[in-house]
Amino acid sequence: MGEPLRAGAVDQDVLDRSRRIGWLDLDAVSRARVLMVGAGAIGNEVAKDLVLSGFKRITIVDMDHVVGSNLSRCLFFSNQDVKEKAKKAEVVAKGLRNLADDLEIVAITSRIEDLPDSIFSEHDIVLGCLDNVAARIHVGSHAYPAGRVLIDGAMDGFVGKVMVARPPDGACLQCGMNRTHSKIASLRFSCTGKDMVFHEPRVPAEITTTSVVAAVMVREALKVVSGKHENLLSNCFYYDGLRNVSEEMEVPRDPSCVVHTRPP
Amino acid sequence: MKNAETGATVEMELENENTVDEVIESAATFWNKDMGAYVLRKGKKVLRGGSNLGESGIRADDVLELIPDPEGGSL
Repeated sequence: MGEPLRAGAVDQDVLDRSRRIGWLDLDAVSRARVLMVGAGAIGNEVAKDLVLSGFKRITIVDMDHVVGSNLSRCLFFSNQDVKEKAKKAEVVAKGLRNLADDLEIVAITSRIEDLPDSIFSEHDIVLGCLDNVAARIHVGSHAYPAGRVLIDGAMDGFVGKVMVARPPDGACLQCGMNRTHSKIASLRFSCTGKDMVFHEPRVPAEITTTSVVAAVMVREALKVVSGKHENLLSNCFYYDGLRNVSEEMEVPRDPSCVVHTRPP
Repeated sequence: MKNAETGATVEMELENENTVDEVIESAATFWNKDMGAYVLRKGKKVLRGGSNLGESGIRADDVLELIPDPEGGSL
């Protein structure tokens, strides 16, 4: 015989209400290894939604430390973190451990470009919470050949976007880029290949759009891990909070895109 | 051509050989857009930058929309 039934036991189960959603595979969710790249505004919201949804194994990568202007959008950051110049990845990891006990959280303070390529294949799913085209190109061009679904979120003021890149057949992030993206990416690098200091645009941002984008990202992650592929975005969610418009758009696969021919 | 941010429209004279990249840059310049990423869409479909309008199935009187492609999220 198993454990005896106790009155009120369902209300002690943290995930009881999620278990009532039939298609959610919470065992798979708890086992899934998630790579979250970026621990800023979208990263804070995504991390919170991941853990509250039942994800337990999360690697957080971010190169930066907390600054005052982050505090309007980042649940886990505090004035103390600003004073201490605390590392974003570590602060988010600490915040998540306060939300649940049995987590396997790894915080890495680094540029994603400086980590071994194997980090992508060592995880089951990748969530891009980035703030620039160059890093997106790096993540997109490594996650796809590694056979990992990448869910990428971005925002600008009240406009937000979530793209789901599903190897081996779907469009990748670069399939949806054009010459305007290349121009922005190239402006970040000097002729020596080092990051330029002067092109760091401060993109308008606020928490409501951040929350919407992050929620859609984690919802898609739940579908991926639960095998609900027929209901995944195919493949771009576009949101304009000022005009109260949200819609699904199609980014077609580019037959000449180099990412699709790149070996893992 | 429609500007998704303002709702403004402008008629463009285009050839089948014009690329989507060229159309995006012309429209962004015309509307004095800030430096940033933009995409062009017809209906629900985002048009591929390097393709030309003929390949993309664009016909006379089609309405294309220039929309900003957000970049932010971390800072």
